[in-house]
Amino acid sequence: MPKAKIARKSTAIDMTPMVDLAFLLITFFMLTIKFKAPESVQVLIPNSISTEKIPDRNVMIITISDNGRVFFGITDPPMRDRLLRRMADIYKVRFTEEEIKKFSLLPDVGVRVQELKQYLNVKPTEREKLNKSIFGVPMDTTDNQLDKWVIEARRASGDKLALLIKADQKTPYPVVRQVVNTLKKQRVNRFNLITSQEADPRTAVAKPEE
Amino acid sequence: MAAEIGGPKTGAARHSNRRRKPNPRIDMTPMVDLGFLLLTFFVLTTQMREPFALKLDVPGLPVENPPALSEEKTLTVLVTGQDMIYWYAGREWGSLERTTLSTPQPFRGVVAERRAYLEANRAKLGIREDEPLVILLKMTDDANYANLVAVLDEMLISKQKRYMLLEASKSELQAVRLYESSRNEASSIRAALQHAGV
Repeated sequence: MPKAKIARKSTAIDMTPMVDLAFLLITFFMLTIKFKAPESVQVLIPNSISTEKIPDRNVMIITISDNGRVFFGITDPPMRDRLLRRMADIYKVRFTEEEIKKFSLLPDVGVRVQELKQYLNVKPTEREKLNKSIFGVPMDTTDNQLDKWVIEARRASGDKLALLIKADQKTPYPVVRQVVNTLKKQRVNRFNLITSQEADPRTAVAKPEE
Repeated sequence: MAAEIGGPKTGAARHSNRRRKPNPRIDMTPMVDLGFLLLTFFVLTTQMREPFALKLDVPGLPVENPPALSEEKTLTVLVTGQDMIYWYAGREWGSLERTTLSTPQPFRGVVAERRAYLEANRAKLGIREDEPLVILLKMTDDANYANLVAVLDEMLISKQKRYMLLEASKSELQAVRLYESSRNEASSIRAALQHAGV
């Protein structure tokens, strides 16, 4: 009996549907994208059921890392420019125009004002490495620079900036308290803690009963 | 080879007597490569879970500790590390109770219970109708930020509007330590009894 002849199939697959899908996804991501803001330090924020929106403009963010380092940043570059000029006057540090420009491109600051000049002159690629070893903005009673940054930011903006606190889940509470107390002294009593959303247990529990 | 449609035949094409049909298929591989490269880029850089703000109002300075409150309507929560919280009602910080903040959230029951108690005994306790339960959240040094957010979140879940963020006093810290040591003692006695075969 002659063997049934099996037709040899071409190995080429029609990739068109896959390409269609890929480009569909690309279009979707391109349209929905909101770039992650570059950060000096990575923090893992805690979850809460809050659904309060965070404003993207006119905010100052105090970031506290898991090992208690504090970073201060404001969102609007022109404001950063003004802020640095004010800080330079207070701490008697001279910044060149170029350094001020560099500063206005930085998301936040995590060094003493006295060291900021040196920090700004480090190449961006090396800055990332440096960010792991800097100590954060000092908050000691003798040299509370966080206090000054916030006061000056509020003055430079005409007190329009909302205050956000972004801390890591593991941040020890004493550091958070120190930040809160620093701000309390300036009569800032309203804070927004940045959290990522989790399901509201009230609605989550209600579902299986239905 | 595909580029010669319609144009004057040159070179090798002229020599072939059969007119070759131009192949309409294009090699899409580079386009797909590029497509997926872009796709990967966008997937990695996009921020899917948008963060939200949890509002926190703290009492201004100076903090009276606690500011003129009828003791009976308060529920004090001491927040320590490891998701553990200690609570007591009114001013009896000697009678601490311990619960946890992780699931199944026994603390929610405590808040509800305390509220019901207050509603039922208003006349007896001499608390006015418009005075709700006040929760005093007292943080200790062992707590971390996640614990803080967890209790604040509980306030939100229990729809508790009146709460205050304060610091634990020395006597309260002492009470927590006493509670822990008495627990340890109790468990060691239990273990000893079990060991003795009682």
